Amino acid sequence: MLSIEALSHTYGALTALTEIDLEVAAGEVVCLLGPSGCGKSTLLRLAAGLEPLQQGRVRLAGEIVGEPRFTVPPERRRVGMVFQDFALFPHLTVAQNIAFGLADLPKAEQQSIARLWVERIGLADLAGAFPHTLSGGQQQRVALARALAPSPRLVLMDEPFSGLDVTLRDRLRDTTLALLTEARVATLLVTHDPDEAMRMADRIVLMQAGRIEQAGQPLDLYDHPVSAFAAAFFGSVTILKAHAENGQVVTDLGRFDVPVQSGPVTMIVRQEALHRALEGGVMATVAAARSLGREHLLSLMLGATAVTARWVEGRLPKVGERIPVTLDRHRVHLFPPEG
Amino acid sequence: MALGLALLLALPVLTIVGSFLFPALDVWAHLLSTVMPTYLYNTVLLMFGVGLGVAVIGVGTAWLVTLCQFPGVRAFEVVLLLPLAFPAYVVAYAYTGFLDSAGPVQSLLRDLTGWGFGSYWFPSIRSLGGAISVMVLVLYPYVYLLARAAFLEQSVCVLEAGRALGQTPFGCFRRLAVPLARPAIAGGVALALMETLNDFGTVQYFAVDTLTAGIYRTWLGMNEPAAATQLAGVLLLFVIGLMALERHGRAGSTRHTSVRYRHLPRFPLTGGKAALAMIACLLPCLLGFFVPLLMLLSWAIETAPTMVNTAFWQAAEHSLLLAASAAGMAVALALTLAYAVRLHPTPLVRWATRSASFGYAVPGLVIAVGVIIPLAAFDTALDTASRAAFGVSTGLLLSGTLVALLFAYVVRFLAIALNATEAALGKVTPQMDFAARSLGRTAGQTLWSIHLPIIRPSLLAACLLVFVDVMKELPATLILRPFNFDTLAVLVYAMAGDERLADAAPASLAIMLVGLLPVLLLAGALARSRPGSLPRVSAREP
Repeated sequence: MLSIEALSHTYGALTALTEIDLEVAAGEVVCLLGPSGCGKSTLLRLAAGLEPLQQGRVRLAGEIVGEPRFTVPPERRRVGMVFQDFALFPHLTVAQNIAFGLADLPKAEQQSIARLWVERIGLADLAGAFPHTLSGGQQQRVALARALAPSPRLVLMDEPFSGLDVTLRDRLRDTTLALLTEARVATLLVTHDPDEAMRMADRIVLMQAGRIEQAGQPLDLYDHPVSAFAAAFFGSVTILKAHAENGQVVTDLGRFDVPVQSGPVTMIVRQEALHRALEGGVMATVAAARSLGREHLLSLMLGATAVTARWVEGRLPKVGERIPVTLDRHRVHLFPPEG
Repeated sequence: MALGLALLLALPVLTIVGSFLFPALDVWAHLLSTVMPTYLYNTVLLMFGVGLGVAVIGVGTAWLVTLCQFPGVRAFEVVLLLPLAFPAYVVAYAYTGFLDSAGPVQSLLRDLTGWGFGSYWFPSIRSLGGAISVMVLVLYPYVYLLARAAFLEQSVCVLEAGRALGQTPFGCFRRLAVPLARPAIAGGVALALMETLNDFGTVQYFAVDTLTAGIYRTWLGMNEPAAATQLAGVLLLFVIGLMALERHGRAGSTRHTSVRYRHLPRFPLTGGKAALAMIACLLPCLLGFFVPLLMLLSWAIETAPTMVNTAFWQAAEHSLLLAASAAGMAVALALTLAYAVRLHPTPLVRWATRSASFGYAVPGLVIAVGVIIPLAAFDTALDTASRAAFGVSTGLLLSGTLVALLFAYVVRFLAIALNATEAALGKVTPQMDFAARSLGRTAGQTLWSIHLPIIRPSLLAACLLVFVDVMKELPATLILRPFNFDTLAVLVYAMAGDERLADAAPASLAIMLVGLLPVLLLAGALARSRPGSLPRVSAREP
């Protein structure tokens, strides 16, 4: 549905995006994931037509909507948008907000569609309320309904959950996903939260410094990161320096094959790579231990190497205690040093 | 389009700047050898006197009402604003009557002492000192408003730390509060001085030879437009200095060390101190508002039956018509420019909009001169062309018409509308624009269906402010109005010129009553505003 080809963008001397290629199919949820300033919001604005395109091409359903010196204005793109601050119109009621994008339809039809949507988002009794009287979660649902009501081809969401508190987020992610799936709409969602991306996305596009670092299915990115950055972005890790010789590194954690013959390598150990061994395993010294309730967070010394670990098994070890641990080698990633 | 509009609005000022940069040397030699030294001397003295006066009264009263506790302090907070309702020339006329030999003050003096007419010395209000006094009384609220806001914004902690470090309340005021509020005070003084330079009615009536009075006399009295234009250029230099001062004030006023606002604990004053504080607050509003009001009322009771006549109603109609059209045009233009900046925030558009609002600081007389020169040139060129092509004379098409007058008003007062509009548009987040655009509305439709409903109250307030300023405006109206087209302000001026002060009172009161509207609005905003927040509406705060 949305297709972005070879898109680059600069703000003065600052390069925001470099050679971006991206596809979003109908019914698919694609998450643009990355730290703040990686260019993901700029990409969203360019897809929406809120900014003129400098280089590259944007197509919607095969039709070119953005090229250098040619931009179809946002109002003619049939693209829905949901914002971090929801941007509900303060002078319009919930129903009027939802009906805002239906101006082409006769009044009666506008009203019946708006009614349908307030019911679908469970706010039927608040149809006549003004936005400032709603809770954050209710506002978010209205914003989503407003974007979906005109049956857009594509929905763009910019950090749609980060204005909400944590407990609310989980519930709203599921509701949102259900509504998006039901609408069979192509969705491009921007977030800096890897958990959110893992949870919502059919595909994740990980961005860094204006480039696509890695794109693929959520589990692919977690299991097979292409770089130390990609590996470290999902969850907490310990980053170690090691030295390769003859295509191998030997560390306190064991012997690993590496993609370089010799020279320095970066070793990423996920916190969930280490587990308390029930039998066998290597001995580690507990340097610090703290229970987070459902799991334990530990600093362990394996030989001279300090790593952090997070597991649920057993009781909380004491500081100074020596315990046997096993290493899940699929949760350890090795890369040649970057740049 | 916005660029073209901005350029058009900057035309009068550019005209003056242009002719000032390429002066006729003989005109200058003449000016320097005759009137220029007097004009400069009087203007500088007037500015110095008014600046000092408004600073002392404005800062003093602001400090008393924000940080001290004495009977009536809440009422004084609002009442101190009232003099803003008067144009200076009306107060000048009122005091002339109040203090002249037949007026209530001297009559009382003679009754008390038994002195005869003319047998004693009494200070004349029609002097430089008188002009300074009148303008201080009318203009101190500018400083009061900004200083008050600055005191409220000051972190309580700073003042409490001052007390803890052994300063007396007055020591805190002198060593902490005033230095911290200095940018705001400078800004207020700059605004008051801009109004001082703009004032024409007072200095003309009091026969104080300032630059402003000089421009009028040179233009209309001596019929020397070239010299008047040069004088206007000199006046513009003063204005540029004041703008720099005011800008400096605004830049500095945003520097707060603390963002936490707490209701300021007031120093309780008792006994003699409380009485002194009350007198200090009472005198400015008494002298700046109630005395002239009573004087006008006592005249008006006498003269209203004859003076509220056809001419009065016609002038009132003209004033309302002009003020309403100018307000509508200024706000519509301001909205166009502000929205253009929002859609295309390029440096060029920003700069153009800024330069279009330059007029707020420029005296009405200077704008009038700057409007008349290009319009007359246009008329002459059109007339010549028309006569050459069709053998028909078009005459004066634009100069001396309402078009010229409205143009001058819009140039002068656009900044008020622009500031209010920009502040209001700031309340509509860019995301709301994006949302509306993505929901199928064009930029124009978005303005209509989103921005306008949200900012309507602010736009109405902006309309009101421009409306009132046009009602009070005298010098530009005087020069640019069509022949025999009187407004209330012109009526008052003309009658005062004929020494018919009492006859002018009904029209003066009418102007004052309209002027009271934004003051009440402002008072309401002040009463509602939480400590530390600036009121949304203020009289002329660019």
